[in-house]
Amino acid sequence: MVTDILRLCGFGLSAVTLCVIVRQLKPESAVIVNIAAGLMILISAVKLLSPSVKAVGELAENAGISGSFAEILLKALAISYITALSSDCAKDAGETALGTKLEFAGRAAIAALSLPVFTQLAEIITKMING
Amino acid sequence: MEIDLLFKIAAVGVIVAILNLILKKTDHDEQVVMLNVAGLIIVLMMIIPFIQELFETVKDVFGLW
Repeated sequence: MVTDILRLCGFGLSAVTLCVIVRQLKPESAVIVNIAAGLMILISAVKLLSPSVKAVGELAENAGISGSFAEILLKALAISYITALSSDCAKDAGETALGTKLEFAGRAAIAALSLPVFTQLAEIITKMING
Repeated sequence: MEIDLLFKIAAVGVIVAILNLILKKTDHDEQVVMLNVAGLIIVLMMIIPFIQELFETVKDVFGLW
């Protein structure tokens, strides 16, 4: 884990240096270098995350939480990672409006994903009210 | 984690910038736009596999789909 993070940090710092140098010559290329570095860092980070995700799934199973709930949680996490990456890329490239719209799309997707949980909650509440 | 890809992208950018200057000096202004578009497309083609790899990794780790 420590070697991974050292490698990632070195990679990130070199990418930043490269970006700064290229930005003076060609700003579009700097944006692309930025996106490529972000993608590679995120790929490694998600790979680092995979044991924790498995452990969370197992914990939820042992705690007797229905598997579909843990699954929804992890899917929401995945959606937020992908959305954050793409909206940050858009904002870095100066397209703030597009980035905000991407974030909105991510929120909408997560809301749609968690709809079943919400309807179950509403059902429980109505049952409690009705006695 | 392939730092050489970043260097490759940066190199394409620098080469395009230099060619840009040469074309402008030699009064080929209409080809400058084509050169820029070509450079951008080449560089985009280089990062498409990584976008795919990221999506595949996220899909595998979080069990999407």
